[in-house]
Amino acid sequence: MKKRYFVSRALILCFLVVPFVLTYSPLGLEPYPAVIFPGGGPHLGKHLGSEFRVQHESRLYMLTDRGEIKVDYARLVKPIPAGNAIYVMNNGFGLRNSRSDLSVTTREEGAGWIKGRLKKLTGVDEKHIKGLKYIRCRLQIYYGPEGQIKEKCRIKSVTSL
Amino acid sequence: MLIRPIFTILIYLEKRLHEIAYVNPRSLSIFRIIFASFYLFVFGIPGYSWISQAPDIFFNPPALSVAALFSEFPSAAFFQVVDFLLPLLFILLLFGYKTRYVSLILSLLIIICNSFKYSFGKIDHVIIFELTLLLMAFSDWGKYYSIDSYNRIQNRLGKKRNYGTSLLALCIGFGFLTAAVPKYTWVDLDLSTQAVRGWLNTAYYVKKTDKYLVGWFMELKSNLFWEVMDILGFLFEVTFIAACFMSRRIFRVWLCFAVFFHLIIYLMLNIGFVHQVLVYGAFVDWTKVFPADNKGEGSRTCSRDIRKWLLTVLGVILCIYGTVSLLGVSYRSLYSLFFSSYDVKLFILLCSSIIAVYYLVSILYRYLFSGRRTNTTHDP
Repeated sequence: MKKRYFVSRALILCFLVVPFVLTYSPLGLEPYPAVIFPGGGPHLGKHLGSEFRVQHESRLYMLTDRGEIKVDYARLVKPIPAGNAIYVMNNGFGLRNSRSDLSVTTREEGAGWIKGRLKKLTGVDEKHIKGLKYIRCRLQIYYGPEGQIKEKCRIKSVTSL
Repeated sequence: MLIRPIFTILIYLEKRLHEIAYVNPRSLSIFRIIFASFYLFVFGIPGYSWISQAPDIFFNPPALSVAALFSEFPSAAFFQVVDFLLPLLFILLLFGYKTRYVSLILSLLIIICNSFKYSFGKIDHVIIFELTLLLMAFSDWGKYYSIDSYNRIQNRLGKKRNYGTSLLALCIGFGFLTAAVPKYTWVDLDLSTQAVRGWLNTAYYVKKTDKYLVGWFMELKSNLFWEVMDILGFLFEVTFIAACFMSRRIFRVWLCFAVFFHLIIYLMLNIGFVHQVLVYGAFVDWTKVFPADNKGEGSRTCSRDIRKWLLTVLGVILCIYGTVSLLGVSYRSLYSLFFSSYDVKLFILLCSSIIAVYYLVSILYRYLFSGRRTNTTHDP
């Protein structure tokens, strides 16, 4: 009876505590389902509110043989929610060469899907579309009449289509 | 050596939790009707058919989830069947037909589908919805005002003890603790850094939300105010788990604070946790709002007729739903036909806040004027 009591309560505690520990551990493995409420968030930097504010921006560019065209990533991945689009882009739209689990057919179908969507959004023919470039920018926007913006961008992924 | 004291402490804490989280089965049954009604007519039933429109290259499931057992998204047919079943199951839940099993099946279906929904790289932390359905399967929320209540055969699950609400209270307290832990850096007592204000700036400049009081809060420049908001937010969340074991009154007071917390977050950041606020309603004594007719448990002379009548109505509704679905009409909720989601969320939060204010005023009144300072088991 004691053993069964301990085991059942231990299981409940494990279900609560283990996912939380895994999420915030260096492994960063968040399981689902897990009892974890939204937490954390940006910590405002110094001077904020008086001189400048910091803002992060995601930008997606379609690479063609004629140059780069900016694309609305939320509309590109619709009906996937826009909040998830950044994670899809971070993941290189699932087409990273390091992914060995994908078959050639799946890759081709996926690339074809993206090209079709890009054609609908931009009007550029699929044969001219070479890839996608995802950039994450940190904007330092100064207050005041001049409204100077300091921008620091980093390429997060480049995907060949 | 240590086992006995640990065992004693665990039993004591568990007993406290059961006393504090106990809810009258009649009240819980009313909550079941409110819960199902809100999802059927206001929030809308979640839909998953859109997942099948995404290419399989986007499939990136959480490593520890049901979806990780698969190599690609399930077929469109699977999600279409689920989208058909979910409203049907909610209708059964509303009528209280095979309540325990329906709650379990609903929660499992939603957990499975959500694991695919979160296979795009991001997990939304809104577990409280499916968790409530799962835990209420181990409660008496089908015992009254349901087709099951007119059925002599009792379901076996949760027959001996009502664990559902105790576990729900524990999960809410623990959930808030998980939200508080990453925020420990907020309490830095440094007036030049503020976290809540950071969220506000993100909402205003990045997400471009400016409804309700966003603009007003943007005008508040006092660093002291924002630092106090950071500290209060952290303290409120980190103490919730303790409130689950202190007393019935304290736990419910913390739930009231949680409602105000969500209201302020919504007015300031336009982020609504309305689903969570609805779940807090499990701990409201709804029998005070909808009193029982006091005819007693014994008067079951018409129980068979009532059950037949309820089953007939349920059957008609299910037939209508089935016909409408076959015609290809997609139903998610009624409210979206008439109201914007922002206004409905605000309405729900305001109503919840009124209930919370009423509760706080009533206990304050009792404390100040009636001289009643008891914390009995069934003291609301």
